[in-house]
Amino acid sequence: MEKWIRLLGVMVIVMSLFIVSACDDDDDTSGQESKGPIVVGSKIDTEGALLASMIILVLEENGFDVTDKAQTGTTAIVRAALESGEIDMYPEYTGNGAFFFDEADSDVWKDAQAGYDRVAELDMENYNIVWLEPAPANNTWAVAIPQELAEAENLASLEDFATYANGGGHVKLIGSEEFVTSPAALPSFQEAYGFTLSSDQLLTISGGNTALTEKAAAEGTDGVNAAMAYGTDGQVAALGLVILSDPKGAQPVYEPAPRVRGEIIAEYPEIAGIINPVFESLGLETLQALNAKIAVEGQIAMDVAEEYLISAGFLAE
Amino acid sequence: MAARRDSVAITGSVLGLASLLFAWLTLKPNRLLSGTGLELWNSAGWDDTVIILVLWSVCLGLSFAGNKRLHAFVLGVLANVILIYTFVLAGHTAGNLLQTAPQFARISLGAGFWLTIAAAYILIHASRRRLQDVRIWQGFITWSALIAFVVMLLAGCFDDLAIMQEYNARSDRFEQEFFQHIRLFVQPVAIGTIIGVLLGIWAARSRIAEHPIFFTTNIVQTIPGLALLGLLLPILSALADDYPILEDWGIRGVGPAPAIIALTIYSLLPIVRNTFVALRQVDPAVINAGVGMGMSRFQVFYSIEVPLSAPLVLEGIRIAAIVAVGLAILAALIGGGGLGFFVMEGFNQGASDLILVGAIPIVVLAFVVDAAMRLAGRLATPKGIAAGES
Amino acid sequence: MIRIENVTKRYSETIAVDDLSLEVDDGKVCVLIGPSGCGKTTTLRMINRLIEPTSGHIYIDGKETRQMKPEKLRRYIGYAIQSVGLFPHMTVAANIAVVPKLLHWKRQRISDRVEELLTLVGLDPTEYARKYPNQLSGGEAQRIGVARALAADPPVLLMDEPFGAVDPLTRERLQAQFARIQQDLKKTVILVTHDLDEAIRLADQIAIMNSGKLVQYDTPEIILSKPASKFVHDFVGTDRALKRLSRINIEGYIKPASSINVRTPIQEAVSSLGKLLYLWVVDDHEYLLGWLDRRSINKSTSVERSMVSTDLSDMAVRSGSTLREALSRMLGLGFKFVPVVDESGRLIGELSLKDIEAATSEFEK
Repeated sequence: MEKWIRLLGVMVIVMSLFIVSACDDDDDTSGQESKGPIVVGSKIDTEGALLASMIILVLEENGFDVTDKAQTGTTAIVRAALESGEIDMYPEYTGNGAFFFDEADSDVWKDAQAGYDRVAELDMENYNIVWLEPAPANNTWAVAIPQELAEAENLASLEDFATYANGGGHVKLIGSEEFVTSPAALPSFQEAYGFTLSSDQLLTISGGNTALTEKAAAEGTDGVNAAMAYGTDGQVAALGLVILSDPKGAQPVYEPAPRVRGEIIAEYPEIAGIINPVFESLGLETLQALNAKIAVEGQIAMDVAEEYLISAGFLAE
Repeated sequence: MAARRDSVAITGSVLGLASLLFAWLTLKPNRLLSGTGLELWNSAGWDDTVIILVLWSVCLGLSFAGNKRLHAFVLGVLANVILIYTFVLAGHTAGNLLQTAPQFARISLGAGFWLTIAAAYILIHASRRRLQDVRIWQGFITWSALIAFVVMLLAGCFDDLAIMQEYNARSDRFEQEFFQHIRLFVQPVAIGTIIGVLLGIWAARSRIAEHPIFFTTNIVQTIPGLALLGLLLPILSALADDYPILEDWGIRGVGPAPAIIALTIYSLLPIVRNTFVALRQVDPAVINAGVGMGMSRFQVFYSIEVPLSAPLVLEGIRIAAIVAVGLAILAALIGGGGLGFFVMEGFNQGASDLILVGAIPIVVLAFVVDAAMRLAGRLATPKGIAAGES
Repeated sequence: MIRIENVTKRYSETIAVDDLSLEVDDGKVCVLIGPSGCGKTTTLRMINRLIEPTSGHIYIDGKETRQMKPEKLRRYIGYAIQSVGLFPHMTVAANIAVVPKLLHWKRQRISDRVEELLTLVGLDPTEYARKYPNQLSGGEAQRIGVARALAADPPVLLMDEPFGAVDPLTRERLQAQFARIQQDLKKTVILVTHDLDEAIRLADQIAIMNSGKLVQYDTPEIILSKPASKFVHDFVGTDRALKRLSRINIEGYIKPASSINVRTPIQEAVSSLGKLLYLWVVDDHEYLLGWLDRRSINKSTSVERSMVSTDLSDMAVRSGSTLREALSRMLGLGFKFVPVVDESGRLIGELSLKDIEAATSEFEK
């Protein structure tokens, strides 16, 4: 008898774990589902989550059944997921076409329209992937410096920065491996504006996390006073940094646009009409402000997306 | 009666006093910046500081004093009082500070706070030791502060602290990922138990099988988590491409599948090894007697080997479970969800409090799973074995 | 009745048991004994098919063992081993109940049987039934092992050094207990041991084995007096005579003892003593208190004061003992006479060294 009670006890403990694990979350489905399901993914970053949320909300508003797979994984994973059909679309940057198709040297990427056309063409040819309309916001690589430094040394553009650096000013730039070595990134700046940073003046980290780099510059960690940044980063102002302008246009253009599997567009061509207006409404300042809400205020991407879409009239109250 | 020092309690008390020197709360202009640390007197005020100081000093005094049970109990109660006081103070002070702070400012818990908690629990641990024979007192000092904490948490007393603000902004998602995390460790351990126990039995029975089984599980164990995931991804993607039915079952290159497979593999070694040892350490004379008396091989297995090896096997499962709870954090990297999602998001955004939203529940979960499995192990230990210590 | 017919066991190159044939009658104890590696344990294990013979047949009550399923066969054969092998996770009662449970006895019958057996092996059921093996002493464990072997009341009992793992004093007690149980139950027993004294004490027949072969199979008396070969002769040892004494109960040799009551006046005691060497002193209930002889007697005091009572417990031999014990006491104390008492200590007679000498010389004829 005693034995059975103990056995029961063990089973109860084990079963309760199983039951809890079987508790299903009702993720995907919204009220009416007629079309789809469409799987929307994104990279693990603030802007990706924001854009993916907008796509999801606006598709659902228009009668689609959408599966939310935002923040799917790293770039490599997301790409693989799209190409294998795991996800049906995700927001990508036009300039990345240079790396996907190994055309980093070409200058076509420095022009917004040309770059977009090129990558859309190549993706269609090779993978039957369609690029929808991009947002007019250049989320390209940039350098951000603390406001005090900008004011003290009168630095507004990369030209000023080059002069400052060459004149022996203290510089310690923190950036990712890719930023420091890729010909399209820092080397491109250095070439365009005529300055070179020695290895003492550089702090390289793995992974392109601008939140980290910008925080380091803002707080002067390790003597850092310049950080790799992205054009639409929302936290720049909140961290007390300013982005140095790039008058010579040394950087490729990275505009966000949805990258969609051709089969989906073929089946639901109306998707383009639904999503394009949304992206076209997202200018640089708009995106920065929305990103700031997520990064600085700590709101979640879905809420920020919903608020914006309602205010812009894409979503009913 | 000669006064006897309790060195553990002394350590706790000294640590508690020292914790006052550290930043207790951190005021950050926004959730990204590191902010400035505030000591207790700079945030809560001198009145409260003095009270806490006095409490810790009394604890220190008591640690030197008696070895009577009453002293231990009072010490434990004081520690709980300090804890509850600290909790209330933290929530309250945070609220006060936010009134005069910029719009998106955040209040985080500083080193001083964590040290206070640690010191208080060292004291509670020391007191518990001396209260072994009065379970009620022991239970009281163990659980009071915890229960108070949970009540306060649910009542929203901590809502002005950064960590709760991060949580409240995404509580639905948290619930979703919390259950996902449970799935992420329960499923691998369950599958790992079935496979591991079978492999363990095989290894214990067959001299030839023993070596290859342990060789494989040992090797696999040494592969670091991320690396194993990295290996699995392309393999699973390729498999899913070739055999679409796998996709329908949810086995793909991304999502929880690779994580669950990896975690299942990691669960194997503790379970296989413990099953193996458990079976081998059954006294051969006992098995001999059983067979000689006319038990069939199955009856020997079921009535002798299973009950005698159960405790050790459950221990192996416990270890596998704890490991899995922690490793499941990696699933978020490949879109598998779980509490690691918040850790990743917090890391990516540079918001340390968001990281804690993911990390702290994982630690709590580990403790709970550990306690549950230990209980299960005790229940499964046949009375004859436990009674031996009399 | 157990019949082993031309049984051989071969392991690739070694022959463990070589063409062994022997028969054990119902109710008799057959002890297998021999030097290490002689095949005695292998033989035992072949009876309950823990080992299968390479050739030959074994019959129990006319039925060949090979015809039954091994598990089924074993449930009808009691099996007790040296390391006992009590199941540590079960109570004593559950341990004993194992085979009856396998035979699907009803619960009441099983619990009655457990109580019966515990009493039989001299353990209080109310105290021991619920104990666990690791709360038992070595001797208690071995007794429960025997109880467990007897649980289903099997006709045959196989024992492999069942009393081996305890200290000599406990072993002696266990052997005595077993002898008593066997007297009551009259099981057919095959017992393996390496201890010749144990064999001599317990066996109705001893089978001496060497290198897998049966060397001599006879009663202990015959083996001791007429060893069949030099091997047996050496094996048995040079103290055969002493060994034989341990087979003989003192019963037939007790002579009446002269005794006086302790309250007898001293003068009377002197005259009673007369020409005798000594007188035993007893109380009103015949309990032995001491002895008197010419040297100790003191006319000026009482019998009580004059009597010698030292060494009494070492001297007195219990009824039911063997001649060997009696001789051992005599030699130990340097006396030629020892008193014989019953279980409570009442004087029932005496033994003399001369009588023992006579008994020994009888064997030689």
